[in-house]
Amino acid sequence: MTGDLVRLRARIEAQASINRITEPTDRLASSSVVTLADDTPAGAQSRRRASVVRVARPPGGGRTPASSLRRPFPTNSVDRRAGVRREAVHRHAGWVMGEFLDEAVLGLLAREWTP
Amino acid sequence: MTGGLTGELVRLRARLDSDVPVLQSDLYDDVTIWSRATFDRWLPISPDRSVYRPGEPSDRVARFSVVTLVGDELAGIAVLSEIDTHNRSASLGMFLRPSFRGKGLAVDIVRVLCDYGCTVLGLRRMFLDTLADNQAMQRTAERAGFRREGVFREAAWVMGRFHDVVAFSLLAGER
Repeated sequence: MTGDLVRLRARIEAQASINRITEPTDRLASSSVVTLADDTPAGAQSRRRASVVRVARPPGGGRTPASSLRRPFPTNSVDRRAGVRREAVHRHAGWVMGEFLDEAVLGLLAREWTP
Repeated sequence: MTGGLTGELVRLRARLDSDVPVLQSDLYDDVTIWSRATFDRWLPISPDRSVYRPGEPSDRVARFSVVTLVGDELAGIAVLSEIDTHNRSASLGMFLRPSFRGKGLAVDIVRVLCDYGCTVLGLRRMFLDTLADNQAMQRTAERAGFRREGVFREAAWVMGRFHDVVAFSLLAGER
């Protein structure tokens, strides 16, 4: 899957650890992000976060929720530029290094999406 | 009778084999009501494979049967699911048999579930999702002290169309 700057491809063994490769499933599409310029992995870089969104396949396929868990502000600005709307803020949803942080939930409907 | 968690009107106890035929008949066999309660696809399932069978104990989900304090009648089910011991949160759900709806049991059940989650398990955040047109569940959540967090647009496919889903939460300090 190719965008303007990055390509999403299947995980390969060298990026194992907790992001280890799993069997293909209908419930989760998990990929690595690599830059188009030099094919380097971008998914793990802390400041280049167009990268890791969780995508769950909904019943009926009409909706793509994205959850920017525990880092609401940097990721949200990117997601909003992608056309995604903020739908809810879960209060104190993530325990991160000694405190509970809010979690923003962003949603995009198929009819709002222009490729 | 087996023990359990007691509110003002109901007691929550473990699922018994004898509950299953009643729950299957009253909660599962009505396709519309089951679809509205679960936002999940209904499948034909025989009673011996019922989703309401007692399961193995789990750290991730606590399944209760609800019985009335007066008469010890089976009123429905209550569930704490998505129990997350790192973020210390859980999702709360309930489903009452038709003849036990509208009797004020729901708020009592929510309170007992929150007490179980926050006091027994040490959780800090309880959440529940309900259809935007389910006014009864939203009133129940608000009366139990839950706050509205937002609306997931067209998030649930229920009987022929996408419905909005309203998210509620309660933090331990708000009880």
